Amino acid sequence: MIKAGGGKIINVGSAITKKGFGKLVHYAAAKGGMDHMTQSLARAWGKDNIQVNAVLPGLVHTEMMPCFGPDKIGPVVDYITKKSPVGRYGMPDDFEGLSVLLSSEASSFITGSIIVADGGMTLAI
Amino acid sequence: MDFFDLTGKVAIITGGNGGLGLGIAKGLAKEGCAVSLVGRNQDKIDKAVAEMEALGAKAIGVQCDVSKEDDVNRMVEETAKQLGRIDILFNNAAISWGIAPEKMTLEEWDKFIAIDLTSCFLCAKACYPEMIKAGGGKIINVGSAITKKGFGKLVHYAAAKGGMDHMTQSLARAWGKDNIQVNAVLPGLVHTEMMPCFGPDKIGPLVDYAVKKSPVNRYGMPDDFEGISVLLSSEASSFITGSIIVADGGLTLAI
Repeated sequence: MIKAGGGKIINVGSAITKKGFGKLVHYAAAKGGMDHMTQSLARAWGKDNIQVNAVLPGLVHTEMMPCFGPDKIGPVVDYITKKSPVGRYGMPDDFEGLSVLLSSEASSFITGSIIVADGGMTLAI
Repeated sequence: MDFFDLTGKVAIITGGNGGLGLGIAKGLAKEGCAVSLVGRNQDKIDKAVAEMEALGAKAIGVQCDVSKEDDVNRMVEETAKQLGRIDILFNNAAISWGIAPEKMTLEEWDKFIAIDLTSCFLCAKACYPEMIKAGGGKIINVGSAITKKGFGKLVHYAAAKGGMDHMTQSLARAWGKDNIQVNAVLPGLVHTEMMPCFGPDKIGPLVDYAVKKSPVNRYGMPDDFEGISVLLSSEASSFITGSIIVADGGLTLAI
């Protein structure tokens, strides 16, 4: 990135750091570390024109967390979908826009920011 | 399909006749959005509309005191009448100057809260029926990174902006069912009339200190907010609501 004259680091954290979850202490701790690494890396490498931000997804349909199909994690998905302001779980393509923003010059004044992108879920559960 | 596309959409931008608001308007217009620039100063409105039209944008200006309910309702009605619909609201209008809290009168306090906070409620409420008609909407509250740090001579401003942060979260929950997403953007130090960062009115020591400390090593310009404004106005952010997004070049982490 120094050679390239600057760079963009986007840490994909988790909205879990806004709420906690009893069976995911390990995951929450790791993602919490990521949030704070984001802030301090932003300060460390700002001088190198490297912007560092974090995106915190909520419930998103992936192999790790199937939201439909035979492996669907039923009660959690149904509960969250019902409570969530957007009334749905996320899909990977929901993150295209924010990813493009944080990867492009359009975000040159955004660094050290931790951006929740969870359809409002953590506010509502 | 371009997921940032705003063709056919209509946005109201309070305080859109200058500074950050005009920067936001330019960003939206690049994606095809029609804009209603709202302000108190008619000369500034006329100039801003002319500037937008010179860029090929569809723009109207509506004079309005956003702290007055009747005025806000008229402004929204006029925008819907002239531009056909309302999809997006930027609550961006604000006033701010430093006063020590022990010296502030209740009249001054009430005025700050009315213009900087109550106005957001009035505009959101007035736009709500139009957004329902449009099948959904986007509300973007332009707060301030001050809510991450505080500032001794801006207790009134910080209180108003803090109210805005929390209004954002609760409005997101209230109107999620209506396909309205509500988010806040918190700028740090940005060159505007309210906070000149260069030129004869430059607020010298403060700007120099913030620039020196800031990870991006500069103050912001209104066009720094085009990208995030387009994101939060477009379908690309349909899974983002109730989020409070600091956009300050890392300043509040570093001071």
